[in-house]
Amino acid sequence: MQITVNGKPETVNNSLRLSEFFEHQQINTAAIAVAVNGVVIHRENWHEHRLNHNDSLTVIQAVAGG
Amino acid sequence: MFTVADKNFSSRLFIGSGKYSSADIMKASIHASGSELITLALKRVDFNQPTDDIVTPIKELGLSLLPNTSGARTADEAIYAARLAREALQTNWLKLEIHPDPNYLLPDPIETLKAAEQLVKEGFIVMPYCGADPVLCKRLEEVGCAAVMPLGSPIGSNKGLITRDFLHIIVEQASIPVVVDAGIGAPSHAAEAMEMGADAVLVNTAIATAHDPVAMANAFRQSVCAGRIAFEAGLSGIRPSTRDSSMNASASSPLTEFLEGL
Repeated sequence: MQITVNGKPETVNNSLRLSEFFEHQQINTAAIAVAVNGVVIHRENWHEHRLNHNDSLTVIQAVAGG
Repeated sequence: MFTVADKNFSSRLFIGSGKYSSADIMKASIHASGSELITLALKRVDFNQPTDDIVTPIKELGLSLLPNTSGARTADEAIYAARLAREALQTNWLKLEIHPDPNYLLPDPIETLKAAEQLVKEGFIVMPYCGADPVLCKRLEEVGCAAVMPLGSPIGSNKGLITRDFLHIIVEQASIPVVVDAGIGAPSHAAEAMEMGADAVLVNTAIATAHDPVAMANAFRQSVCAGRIAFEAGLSGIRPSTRDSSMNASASSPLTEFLEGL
């Protein structure tokens, strides 16, 4: 199925869990947050949140700034 | 010692984490500054080019985190950014920043007030970056902000307190902490803000882009302390508890009562 991640289209397995999505990306998730279709999904719910076709993910991290 | 929301701070110097040439210099500068609160920004993750983890070294220093909503142009964008920041950093503290104008980065007062009101309802400790507008600062206080952060001059301009006369009025009227933010380019600017009775200052560019950021952080630490001590000592010829009558307005229109009772 198709989803968009930070505006870029991606093809992922059907019903992929959010936790599985991050495992595939192999990034440090210590200080990141994700919203699916504009709704923040809490970290403790990543393992049960299944993605749907056409979902739009916003993934942010903390960076240096004033 | 002073308090914002329920947190006590022994340092009145807040610090920004931007513009340092390396994480090591940032850490050493933060340490030299004595600061206990540091701002962070948010950005979208680029999965092809992972960015260095900045949070771990900051947490190692034991600082409290103050994520900002820089990049937000409207109240809705700022509220969205705030919710993401809370999730990413596990803190309710927030520097609310809404500046749609790319040249001067001046904060939008209307969107800032709207966002502040909503975010307070959602349990955030809201510290809004705002213009040095005494009326706006009182409105931000009334909707429940934990502090106000009026600007001295545009972000990164190093021009100092070009809003000083209005900062005086804000300090005089505020019942919540006043943190002078933006434009503080030299330790003397920070000392001036503290001498006028500001509760704290937030400094980023002036330290991070100094030739020797660690030494400059130390200079700011000392200037903030000196300015505060001077304020508490009572500057000669200035009685901080009294109003500055030279700034009193004199009405140029009749202040009639015809609107009362409407």
